[in-house]
Amino acid sequence: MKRCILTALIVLMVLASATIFASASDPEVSIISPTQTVSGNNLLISVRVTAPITIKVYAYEEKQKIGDTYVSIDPAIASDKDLSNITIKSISLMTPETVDVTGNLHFYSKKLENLNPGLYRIKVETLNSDGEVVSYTNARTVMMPKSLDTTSGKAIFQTQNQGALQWVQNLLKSIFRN
Amino acid sequence: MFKPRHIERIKDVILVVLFFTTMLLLYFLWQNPMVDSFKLSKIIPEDNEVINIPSLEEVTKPFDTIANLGGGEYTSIHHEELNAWNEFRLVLNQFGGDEGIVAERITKEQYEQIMEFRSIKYIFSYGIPFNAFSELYNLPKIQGSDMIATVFSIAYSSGSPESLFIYDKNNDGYFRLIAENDDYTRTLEDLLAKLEAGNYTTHYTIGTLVGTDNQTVLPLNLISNLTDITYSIEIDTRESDYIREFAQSFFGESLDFVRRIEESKGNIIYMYGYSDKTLTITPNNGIEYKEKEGSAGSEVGYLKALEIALEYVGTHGGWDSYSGSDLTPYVKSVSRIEGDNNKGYRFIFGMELDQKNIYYESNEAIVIDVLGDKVINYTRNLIEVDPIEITAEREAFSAVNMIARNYKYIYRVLLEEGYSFEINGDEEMFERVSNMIKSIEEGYFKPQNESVEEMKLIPAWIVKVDDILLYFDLYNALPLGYTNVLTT
Repeated sequence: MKRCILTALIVLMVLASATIFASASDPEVSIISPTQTVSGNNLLISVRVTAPITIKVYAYEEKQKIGDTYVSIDPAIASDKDLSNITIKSISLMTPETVDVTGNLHFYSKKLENLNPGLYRIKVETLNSDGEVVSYTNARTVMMPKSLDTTSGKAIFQTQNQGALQWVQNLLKSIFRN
Repeated sequence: MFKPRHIERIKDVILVVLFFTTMLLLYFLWQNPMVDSFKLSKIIPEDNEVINIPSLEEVTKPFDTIANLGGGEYTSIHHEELNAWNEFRLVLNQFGGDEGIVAERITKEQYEQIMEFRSIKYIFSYGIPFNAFSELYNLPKIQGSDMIATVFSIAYSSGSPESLFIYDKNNDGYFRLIAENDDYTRTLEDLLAKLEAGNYTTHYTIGTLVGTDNQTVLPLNLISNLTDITYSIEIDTRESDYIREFAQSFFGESLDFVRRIEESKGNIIYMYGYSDKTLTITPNNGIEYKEKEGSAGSEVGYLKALEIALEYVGTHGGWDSYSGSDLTPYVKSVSRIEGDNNKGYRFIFGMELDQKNIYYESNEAIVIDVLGDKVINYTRNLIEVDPIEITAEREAFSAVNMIARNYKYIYRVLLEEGYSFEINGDEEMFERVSNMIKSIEEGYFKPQNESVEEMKLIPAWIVKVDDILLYFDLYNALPLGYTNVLTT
């Protein structure tokens, strides 16, 4: 009995350590892009690899289950870090790509186009020589709609140029300075 | 037998024949032409010879045109694509209308913030004096423009459509030209829309891809049809007639009082006086002409000096390639020079082949110094290429990985050229090197060759790191060489 329990414990420890080891992110892999928040319809994936390893890159949209369908998550809700009350399904956006990195510095980059605002996730697995996953790195990003607001552009010069009145003042200054 | 008046007539005829014979003999004595090349037209000068000289506008073009499409995406285009530069010139001509334009200085931060909006920026490779820029592109009068010294780039941003933005790199100044309303720039919005709707090559900043601050853009994936191109040197020192004709354009038809020296290594030197004027022709290379500075003359402005330079090249060697593909000249850089008695400009001309710049490893296509209103230095290293055959497109080596693969090589080159760093580890080295990159483009590299067999233009990535140009093979990223712009 004691031997059975001991054996079971050892097996559990091995499995647990494998799980922990596989779930730890690889220090040689960094997801540079996307950042936590992006805007527009396109998503840039940029992964820095600093060792001659094999990686496999996945891209998903995290969709919310409503009834029997899955819909994009509202960016305003997605920005809330606590999504535990939402049922999320990861929908793959591309065929996973495997890259054999040679050298001690390499960048994997890819652009995904025509995406909707929502929540996205990039996963990068590190594979050993047998193709087994030894670690993975995740990054989530919230895609906001492309900003069409030009009023903030004018605000950049607001302290310097208060509209037509400042334009006239500048004109008068430059005339009398000349 | 003959009457006296017949004898007199015969004498007259003989005299006329003797006179013309004397003229012909004198001509042969002085000109020493080949008999089979004798033409009357060569004795009588032709006043109607047409010399093609590019205009000031034709040689003053943006080095790069970068559009910010929003969402961190950019694209870089040639200024002829979608007629981009001409569209902007039309905007410049009527910007401000009758209401006028006001210039104001802005901060670097304001400039960077406004450029984050959808925008298009025309970047030159040197600072054009603002007065010359205004005159050349018919800018209306701008109140307050006297604070703008040079134009390194000029841009439009949809964040402030009533404005245009100038960066004066020489003086680190940022300026805003403000019109009464935004009607004048609508065509630039249309241009941005056309660019976005078309098949553009996506660019991102180096910082976005590698996680640093550098705002220099590079292509994500580049498809190219550039291939090795064989070229020949314009001047063959074995063609003595051509060499003589070339020398005559500097010293006059008769080459009076001009010594001709042929050195053992093949150089041909024409010298007038005590090196008052010297023309050196080097085999498999080019020519160099030097003239001593004269007394103080009239100082001319930038545009007049450029005009003098263009005309001088046109009458001393010409601007046309003699066979094959046309090489398009452009002003690559300009600097002020000063002699003992005069001030002037040094113009360096580059050559474009099929919208791609040709970079020489150790010299330049044309360098011309205009001091006062006179040319005192002229070097010419032009090449001839055959018409380009269309080749299949293929993917270039990833630009970001070209840097990743070569950052240590770039670091070593910088150390050799006198840069010093305090670096801790490879990560910091990469960050320092990548932050120093000012531009990345595809083009042709012309190595400093020794043998005729090696005379090929090589498709390359051209990376500008501070004042060093480094060249990497476009398709395999192997280093090809580098040029220190300050010392070449």
